[in-house]
Amino acid sequence: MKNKKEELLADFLENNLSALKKQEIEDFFAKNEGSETEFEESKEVFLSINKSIDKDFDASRDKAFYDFLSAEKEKLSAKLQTKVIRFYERAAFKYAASVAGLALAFWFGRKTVGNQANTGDLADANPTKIIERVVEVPVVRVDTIYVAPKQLASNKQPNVLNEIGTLKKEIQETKDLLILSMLKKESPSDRIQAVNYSYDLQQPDEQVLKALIYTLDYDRNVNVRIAAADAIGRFGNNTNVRDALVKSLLKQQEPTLQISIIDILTKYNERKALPALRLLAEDNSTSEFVRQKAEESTRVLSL
Amino acid sequence: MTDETAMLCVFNGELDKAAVLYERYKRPLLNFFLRFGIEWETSHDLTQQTFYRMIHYRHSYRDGYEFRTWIYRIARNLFHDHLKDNHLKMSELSENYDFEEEETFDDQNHQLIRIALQKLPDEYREVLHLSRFEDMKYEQIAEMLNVSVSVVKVRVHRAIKKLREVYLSLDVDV
Repeated sequence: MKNKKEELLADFLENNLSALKKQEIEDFFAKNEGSETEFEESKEVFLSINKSIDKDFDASRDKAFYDFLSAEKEKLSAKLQTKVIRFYERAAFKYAASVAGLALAFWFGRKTVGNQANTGDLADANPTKIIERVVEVPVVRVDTIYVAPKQLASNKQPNVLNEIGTLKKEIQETKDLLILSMLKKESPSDRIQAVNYSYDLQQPDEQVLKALIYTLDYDRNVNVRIAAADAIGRFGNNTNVRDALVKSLLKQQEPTLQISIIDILTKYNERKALPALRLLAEDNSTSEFVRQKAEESTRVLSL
Repeated sequence: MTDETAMLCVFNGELDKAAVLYERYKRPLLNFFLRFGIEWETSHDLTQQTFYRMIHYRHSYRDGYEFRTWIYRIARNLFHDHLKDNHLKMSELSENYDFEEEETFDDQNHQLIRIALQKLPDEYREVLHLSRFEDMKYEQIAEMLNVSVSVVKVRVHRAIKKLREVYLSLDVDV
């Protein structure tokens, strides 16, 4: 009865009553003396809770969101590319590529024989031409076909390559520094941004990896820790990363993070994770979903 | 394009549509946090994190969900995480609004109501906040808080009763 009255009052306050509800409330007022006054007074208080004027969002902060969105889009397109590559890794494609490779080799072989037949004439007329033709022969691999580029004799080429190498190294170092400095920022959005920058790195510096692992273990914001787990997952082929993830697994309390780490360790077939996975699976405080995941991964890694 | 259509696009990998939702909801969400008494800087951060989570957990969105309720649920979870991480209680937060700007209201009365609201238990304050400030229907609040509509209605009634008591005691003091 008490709850019924309370529900009626709440409907009355919301002022969005059907004809039936209105009748119900009127009947209630008729039967319960004094209720109408109580209802009216409550309504007065309810309506005096006025909404303040909305503040505008600081537009200078939009950049952080749009940077994040771009990084997410890149991640997504990278995933799609990986799927395409996986298509090329299929067995059927490999056989087809092998057959095509053999056919190409045969065709080039025939062509080379043809050239050799004319070598005498060509050697006398233009020796450089022969060298070019020999270098143009492709290198055939089962999964990929590499065509050797023309080996143009130039003394400048090694210098240019060195300069590009130095430049790449400098860019990488700058990015490493940027990530390290942004991971120390107060704002969680900045720290997420820092983690996202690591997607630009093919092989991050050891210090950056350590900083990402530290972030995964100790950042006070769960979103930053989740972003760090996703980013670190890309470097699962590194033994130190996998070892750190095994240690981190037992430190994490957040189910989303536990799942992310288990996925990475299972993907890289890290058997060192088995004791930690068994502990998680046996721990009653582990969430049901994580426990199931840990059991499933224990089975996969024990195979 | 409705919010729900935009979110379904995001769900299907059209991440550009997240920008549409960001532009529509960044202001209401900022004010959602501000009204709970979160500081200006942190409210901005939490607003952005709401959108990061929206993108990150896009696959948990289901066709038929009302987007507004879904995004507010994310925001509410973030708000509670923030309280937990910083060992805070809702009652320890004081609204950081600039009352001088609100000329349309009876300033003293308005301020007393705000103070009275702050003194309410968290679960009461939350339902009134969502109902009055975020203009949410009881059904939406119920879905957001994962409780029944009846529970929401009972909470609203008790919250108003308590608010009236606190307000009247403050009024006497003044």
